[in-house]
Amino acid sequence: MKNVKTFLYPSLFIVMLILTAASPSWADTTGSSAEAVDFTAYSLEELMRTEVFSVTKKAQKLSQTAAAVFVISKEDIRRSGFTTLPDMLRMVPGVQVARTDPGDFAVSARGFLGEFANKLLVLIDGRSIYSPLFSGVFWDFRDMLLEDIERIEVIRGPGATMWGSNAVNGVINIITKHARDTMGGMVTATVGNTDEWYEAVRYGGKLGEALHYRLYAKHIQFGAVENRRMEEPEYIRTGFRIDWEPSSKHSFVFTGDYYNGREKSWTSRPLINHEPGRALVKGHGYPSGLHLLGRWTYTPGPTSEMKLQIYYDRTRHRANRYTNAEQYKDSSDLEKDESALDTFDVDLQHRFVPFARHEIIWGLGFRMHKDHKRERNVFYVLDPRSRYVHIYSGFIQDEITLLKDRLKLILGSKFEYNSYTDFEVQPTLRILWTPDARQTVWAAVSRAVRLPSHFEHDGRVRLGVLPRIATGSFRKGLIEWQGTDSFDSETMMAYELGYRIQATSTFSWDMTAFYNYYKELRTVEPTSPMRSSTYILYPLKSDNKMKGRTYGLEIAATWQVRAWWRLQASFTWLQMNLNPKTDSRANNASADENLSPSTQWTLRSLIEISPRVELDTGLYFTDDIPGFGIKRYLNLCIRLGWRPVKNLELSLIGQNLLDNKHNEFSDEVFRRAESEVRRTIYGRICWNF
Amino acid sequence: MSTHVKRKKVRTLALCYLILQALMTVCTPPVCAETASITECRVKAGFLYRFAIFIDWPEKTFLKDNAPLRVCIFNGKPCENAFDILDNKYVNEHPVEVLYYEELQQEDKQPFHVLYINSTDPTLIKSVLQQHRLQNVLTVGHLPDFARMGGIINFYKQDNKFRFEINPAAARLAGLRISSQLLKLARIIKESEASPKPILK
Repeated sequence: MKNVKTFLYPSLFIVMLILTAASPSWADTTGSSAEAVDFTAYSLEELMRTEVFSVTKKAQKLSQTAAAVFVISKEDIRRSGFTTLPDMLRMVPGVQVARTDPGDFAVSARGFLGEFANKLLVLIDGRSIYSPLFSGVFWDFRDMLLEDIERIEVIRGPGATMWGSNAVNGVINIITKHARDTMGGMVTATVGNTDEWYEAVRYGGKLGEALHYRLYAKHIQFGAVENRRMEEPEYIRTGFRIDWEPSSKHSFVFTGDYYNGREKSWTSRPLINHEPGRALVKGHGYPSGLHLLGRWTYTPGPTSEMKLQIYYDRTRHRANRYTNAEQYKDSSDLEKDESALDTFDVDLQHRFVPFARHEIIWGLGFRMHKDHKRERNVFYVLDPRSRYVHIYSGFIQDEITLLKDRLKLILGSKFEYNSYTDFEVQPTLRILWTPDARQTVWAAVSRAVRLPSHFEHDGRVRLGVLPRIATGSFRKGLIEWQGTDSFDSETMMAYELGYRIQATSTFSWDMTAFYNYYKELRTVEPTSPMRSSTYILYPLKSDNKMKGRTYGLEIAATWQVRAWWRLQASFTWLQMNLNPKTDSRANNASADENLSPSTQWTLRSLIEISPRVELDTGLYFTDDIPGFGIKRYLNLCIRLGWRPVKNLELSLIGQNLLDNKHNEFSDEVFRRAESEVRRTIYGRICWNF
Repeated sequence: MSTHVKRKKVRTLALCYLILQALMTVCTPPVCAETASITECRVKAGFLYRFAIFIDWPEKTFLKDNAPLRVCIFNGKPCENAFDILDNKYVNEHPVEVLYYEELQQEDKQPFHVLYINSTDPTLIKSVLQQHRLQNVLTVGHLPDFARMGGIINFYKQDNKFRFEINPAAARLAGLRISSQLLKLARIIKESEASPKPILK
């Protein structure tokens, strides 16, 4: 209880502080935002193409969704004070975020948290950044210019019908700004007391009336985490976006980026010929990648729209590691590791109204992955080293209006054929009831699958070395995790119930309850040992021998107290109950269910003290992670923003202010808590010209 | 899981729930000023500027060649600052001057060229359009029947984008000439559709 109190009192204090600070003398300052776009520079045609979502309109749009949706706006991003993309997701109910290393994050939705959390699909402008090689997202490789983001839509629960496989527990859609909204130049830089800093430049312009473009470059060094085994990784990234609207019916978007990184780390490795079976390995890693995307949208009328999207995405990772930093001239100690992944994707989507009361969306997709790995002396390998994966998919969804403005039924399914598991069907049935303009009730039943990754099929990882005493032989033992071709998809049935209410014109809240039932979850099964001339191999094989239930509750609330003051709160409660099947010899069930915090809550206050000064406060609570012995923690983030002149914004930001440093997660394979997230105080400058 | 840990968990849960509950009871009662989206106002400011470019006012409404073109925002509370951007922009030699009026008493107010009525109250709009002589004033509003009630330009929304309709008869009556370039982008309200004396109460 003492712990709870230590967290509770500061938080109550903050709340009280905020409440007392709200003196009525501020009441007539009205809202204004630094994101002010000068629309007088727009032509009439451009103005007529500009999308406007008012607070209530957006709410109405949201209220028309029969899913657990949370939207992070560009305003939320700017005022959160966070420097990385995954940190932004901390404000979303039902999403778990933990920083594991300077550049690495564990991000998941509705449980199954892990650095390789594999049940959450992430898309940037329609491009998947979920790695089919390992299952999961490498957040440091996939960083972007946060100032370019229009909004982040987070959909908890299965989104498989629309988005396809791996959208089991959620989908994150990152949508970047139209190039028209980033005209002119921007320079931004961040520097603070830890080694995390970044700087970026952006320039946007137009060629003629219909074509807008922007270019950017960003350099980031991930820090803010104390880990003596890792030097701060650094990335340079450059990219562009072009929007071309030759007529009101046709529009084109082209995006691209290229990045190059550098990281240095020491990792503990099982090594047979070392005593005591483990050694520290010093490594240099060089990740790089690029993508090109083109999308054509054809809008013949208000009720019909067609989209064709093609992209190519490539990631490369090269690493050299040395078992002994001083003597790496000895080539037998040298590890070399190179992996490459190429993705090509074509996607067609068509929305139309065939007859009254029906709105149909259907689509076809083709995706091809090719990966390749070359290595020497490496503790993990892929066999075969290269693999082509094809995914053919189609989906159809019908939104049926049963009672105009009152009752809607949404029926749909995705049909997918892939090289690993052949056919997968992922249907959904949703019902949306809006008894009046302020309230929405929705319910959904859906099925979703997670496809095996290349690693779960063909990978081999050395986990540990057993001494001779343990093997009872003159040979040492080697524990190795092995992928198998028989490893199948994980499947889930989800039952969701949601309620939203716009209680007053200034207060709204949103509540979702869910129950997920999983089958064929991954287990790691010990199999009979094999003898080789130098060691005894104890293989652990991936299998699908676990089932489980998860259930929980997610609440989000927004209160626009005054025009200049907004309060946002969220609450998450999650229970996981996983059981290996009777024929399973694995023991990872209890481990997996203890890696996600069971309670989380956030409280954010956004205050415009004057049109030039903003004070934003955020409190983020995360419960214990018993699997790693990690204690609950409360983050306090404060941002003070000041605009001395119209185009210049200065911010002073404090993060994790309540403790000097704390541990948020650990490494899943070796289960050691190494990294600690530090208290950070930094300044940011953003100049638009 | 031991019962101790479980109990602790339940307590944390209960506490979090209480905080949330407390927050919500605090939150529910107040009904504050309507919060219109600032972006909408900014886009509208852009439109007003473009409208002014495509409209000819009679010479006599400007005392000098470089006399200001006055834009009056009536009842502008929710988006006050958004229209400031128009200040000191130029419409054919005339610098724009933005005025914010909470009421339209004729005597002590400066005359203006553009009147944006930021209200959705038909009774109020009706009284503004009827009781004030709006000779040579471009009236702009955002209400389904605004143009039919005698307003000149009315905003409406389609697919979250602004469109506008024009009542050319009302413009003629006010002595304004609207460029064909503006007319071709607008939905035209025909004289037969417009009711000079609206039935709205």
